[in-house]
Amino acid sequence: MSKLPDLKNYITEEFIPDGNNDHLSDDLDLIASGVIDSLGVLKLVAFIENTYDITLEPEEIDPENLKSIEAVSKLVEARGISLA
Amino acid sequence: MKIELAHTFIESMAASQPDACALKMKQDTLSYHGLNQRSAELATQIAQFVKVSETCVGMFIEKSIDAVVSIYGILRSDSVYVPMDIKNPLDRLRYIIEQCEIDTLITTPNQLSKLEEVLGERLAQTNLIVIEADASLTLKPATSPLPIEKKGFRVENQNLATILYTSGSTGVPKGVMLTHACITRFVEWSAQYFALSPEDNCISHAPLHFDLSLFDIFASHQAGATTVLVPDGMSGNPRYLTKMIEQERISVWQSVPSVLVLLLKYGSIEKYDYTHLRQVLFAGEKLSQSNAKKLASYFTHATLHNIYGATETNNSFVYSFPASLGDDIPDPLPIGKAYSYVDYMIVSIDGEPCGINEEGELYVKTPTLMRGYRNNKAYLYESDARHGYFKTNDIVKQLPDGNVQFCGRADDVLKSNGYRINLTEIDTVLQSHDNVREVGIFAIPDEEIGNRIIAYIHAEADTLSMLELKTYCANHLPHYAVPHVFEITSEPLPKTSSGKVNKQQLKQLRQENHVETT
Repeated sequence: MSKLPDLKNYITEEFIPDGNNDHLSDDLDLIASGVIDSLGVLKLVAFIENTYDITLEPEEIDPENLKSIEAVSKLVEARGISLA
Repeated sequence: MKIELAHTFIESMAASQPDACALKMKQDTLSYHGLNQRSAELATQIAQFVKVSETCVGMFIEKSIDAVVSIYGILRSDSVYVPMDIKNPLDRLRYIIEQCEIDTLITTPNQLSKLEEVLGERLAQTNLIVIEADASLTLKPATSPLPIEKKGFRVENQNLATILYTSGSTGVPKGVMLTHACITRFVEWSAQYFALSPEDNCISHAPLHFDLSLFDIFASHQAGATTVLVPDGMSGNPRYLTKMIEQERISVWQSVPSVLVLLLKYGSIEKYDYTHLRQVLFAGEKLSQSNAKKLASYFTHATLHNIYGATETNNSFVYSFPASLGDDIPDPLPIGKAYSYVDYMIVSIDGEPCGINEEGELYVKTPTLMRGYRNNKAYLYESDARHGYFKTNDIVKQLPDGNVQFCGRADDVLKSNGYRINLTEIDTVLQSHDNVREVGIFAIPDEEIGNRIIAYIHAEADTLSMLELKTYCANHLPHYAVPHVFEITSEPLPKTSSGKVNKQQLKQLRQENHVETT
């Protein structure tokens, strides 16, 4: 089963909880658009680690790797976890 | 009389310890000799474009060794360094460039296209100095430079060193003008109080447009220590930071308290060794006693320092305690005693001096006081500023043991994640959105980040989403001022008898509807 919707649902519920995620595209820069701040990045890291059962290295917790649903997908898939 | 300037020690330091490391970021290092050499080269190039004293030179550059070289280069060209947050919205960057009448900027190749977008038509009259990856300099002189008589320079009586922008009440940032004298007095005292030496590795966590960086750069270098820079993208990454303290043998740490709280909560703090860490400075907001105790249990070899100050005055109070104090760390942490060169008054609402344990507003008199705000003389007309006392808008009280304790703010300014935020500024921005009818904005205390900002918005049903509002704020405000929570309602907001949005009632409403999960 695809795990990508989990990620999108999490971001909606945690950061834009009015449920209106029509414009939450996979390549939207979540940081530049103000959806998540620096603490939000850490919450997102905790979610990724728990959901996909991985541990991110300190160097991987870089906003570049976490700024969009697309970027997070790449990061997770690089660990051999299929989201498709 | 010889005037001590903020950067004069660089030449003598380069002569006495040329090979010592002045700056380090990741794998890159720069010696004192290199810093002296490179900043002198840059100063020579800047001098071609700068014809009048107190010219502001902009820094549009990521946190890096090059950025610190730029600071010294600008100062050595007798100009004023204006560090810009490259992540700021375009409007805000343009405002700063215009207000400081900047026509010379230092940047790097990877920021060039964004800078050109910021400058727009102004590009033709702007000189750019690009620091290339190999540290060579590429000059792009203005194609149609401003005639010199059109530059509105004001020559004032003390040499200006920097302008640091902080949030203002009217929706536009305020430029705090600091002189060389402000910086040198603060730096000399700090280097002595914290006993900095060439053996120290001082972290530079704060961005360079933030006043904490004055200590990280100038105090560290005046003592001949190494400044270890945290790259921009890693400043909010607690695991990177805890690992860095061990790997880089950081001996002096300074940050806002909320970063230390993140280290405790998300930093895998138990994994690393902190025996080299001997000074831990935190400034800018409150740290709870329970978190101070937790930090003390890891940073066992350190002395901890709770520092109080504003960008306008620089640091003026400190409460220092050894980690070994443990359970005896006072609750709440006081801001301690005034720096030796600082005078202060605590004044009641009636204008009378306060007694022991009596809350009043803090007024500070210090040689490190700013010259003023850029193009804004308002503060000079506040009655007490005339006697040299700066009105802090902070409510404090004098404790019987001689320490001072912070109690709260007297206005709409607060701290979140260590950043100064003005609720009026956010309100103004939200009001400017076409679909917003009413705005009610307030903060609730938060253990992790100090304050969470909540915005209630009255708008016609189905015309606005949270995503849209967050994006709108991110385009018009610095990233740290984007409210954490929006409540959008099609009902008008509750009002006070005078017709203003009733924030107290909104706070109650929020409490009834939500149990905060933090």
